[in-house]
Amino acid sequence: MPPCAAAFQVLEKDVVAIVGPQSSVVAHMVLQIANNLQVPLISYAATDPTLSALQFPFFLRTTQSDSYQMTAMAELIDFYEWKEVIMIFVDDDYGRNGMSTLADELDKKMFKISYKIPLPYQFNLSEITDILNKSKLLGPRIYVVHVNPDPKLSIFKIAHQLNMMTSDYVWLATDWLSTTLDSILPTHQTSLNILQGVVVLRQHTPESSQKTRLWSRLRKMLPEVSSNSSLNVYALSAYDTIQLVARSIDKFLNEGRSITFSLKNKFHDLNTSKMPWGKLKIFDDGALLLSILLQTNFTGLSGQIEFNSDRNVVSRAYEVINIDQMGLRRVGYWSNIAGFTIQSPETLKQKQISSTHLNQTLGNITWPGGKTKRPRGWVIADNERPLRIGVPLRVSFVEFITAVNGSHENIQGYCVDLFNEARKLVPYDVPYRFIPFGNGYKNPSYNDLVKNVANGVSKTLYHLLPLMFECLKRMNPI
Amino acid sequence: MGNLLILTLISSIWAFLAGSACCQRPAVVNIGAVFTFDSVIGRAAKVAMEAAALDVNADPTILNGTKLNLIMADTHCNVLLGSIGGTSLYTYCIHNKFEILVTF
Repeated sequence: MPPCAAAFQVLEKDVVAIVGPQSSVVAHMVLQIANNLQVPLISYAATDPTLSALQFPFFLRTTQSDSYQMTAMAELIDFYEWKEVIMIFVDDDYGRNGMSTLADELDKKMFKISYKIPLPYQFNLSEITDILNKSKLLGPRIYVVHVNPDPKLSIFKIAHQLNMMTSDYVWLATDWLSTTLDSILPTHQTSLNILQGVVVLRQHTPESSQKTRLWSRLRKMLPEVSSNSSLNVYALSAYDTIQLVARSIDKFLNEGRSITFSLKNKFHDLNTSKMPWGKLKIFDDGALLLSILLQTNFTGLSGQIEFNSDRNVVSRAYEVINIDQMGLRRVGYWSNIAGFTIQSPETLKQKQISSTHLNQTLGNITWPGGKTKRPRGWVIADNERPLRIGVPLRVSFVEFITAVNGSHENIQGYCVDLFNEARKLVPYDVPYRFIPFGNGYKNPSYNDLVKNVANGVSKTLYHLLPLMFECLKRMNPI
Repeated sequence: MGNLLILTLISSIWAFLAGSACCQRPAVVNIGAVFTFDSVIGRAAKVAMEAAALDVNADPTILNGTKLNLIMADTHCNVLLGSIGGTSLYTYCIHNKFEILVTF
């Protein structure tokens, strides 16, 4: 049944709290009801940062908000000194708000998401193929992917087919991918072939004997039908959420309060012949239960269960995972306090090592194509989109630059020779195309040529500009 | 005789108060769980929540004397339309810009 119907179904049964929803999109819908009925809503998986708004005073979160994850992602991009990225995101509340949070975080560092590529909630393979093909012409080669968990790994399958999982490309994914892989492995080991070189974040949960015991217990409880699926970090958040709610209700009852509901009059004013509003009751002490929840503090299996002023659980760490031939390999951790570290936050705390943002490290990463050297992250031009160089068709001083026999394809001259020599010094291939400017009967206006560059009609390589200007200076000795 | 009467009165008041104090804790408390059962996260979360409810009810230090009743409802996020038929309760639901009429 759709989300609102599901919410009504439980609210009819006089519940004092709702655990969930796990989808951020559903949360936006259901929260309006929860606000009116004063029932606390505690989600273990809805990560959309905008759910922390003051608009939703009854919403708590026992998982990390994506505001932390996007901070981690922005710092990862900064760590490798890339400046521009392409972001592929699902165009719903979760994806869009995650994208704008990343844009804000990158903006603080003067970086940007150069191209934002939204995907529909249910995308098909031809849409992805089209989108990825077009993105190859854009320039940046750093892709950040923020979509819903997808066991089919559609985006990466298509990227692999389009030869985009090769050197020069960088693929960064948020925790949708680690959740998906944790849930489908080890039965789908072959999936890792198409993911070589991807770097993915995962919410970190501390190791403990209780956690190990719960994992093995939960594996036995998984239904036979889905024996191929396994567990992910959200199982721990869900477990902790039930513990949180139970302890809070216990404290509520220990204070001598009783659980009572009353019908709210304004619902009766609505046309109730087809609406269930009239049957829904307000939990009288919802605000009190909410304040008890917010003051709870205990050590759960997913981490410390303690809330900050945003009604989010206090900041935890993320693991940085690299996918290579060996499988999923953790190369480090990220935390708000220390940035990137190789040792886990628990180890750092135990050894009382203080780590700051000044001495961040990560393990070696194997990038797509098998390289270990950090990819540049952009291409200035490729064969599909060569560099367009504006060339004035001069009638005087033609030794510097001219079109031989009036042919626009055959541009020669001192400037061209210099340009070719300069190209040899650049450590990568630069496909180019000369675009002639002028009618061939009189020297064209340089002002107009420069205007064309500004308007994007033609471009000039930055480090060849001095050469160009030198040519121009020699042509017009004043 | 008067002392005996007062003593009886006091002990019956005390017994009444003691009895009502113990009955203030409900026998059952309901919490709802609203999520998509058949999803990557839902499959793991469902068994975890069931285990947690069992642990809470088995733990004498949490909610002693009160049973935690976990009511789960499936949001079927991947299914746009609900089924028709069943009880006489109707609701309108706006999901992904479609207006859906559901009965349940």
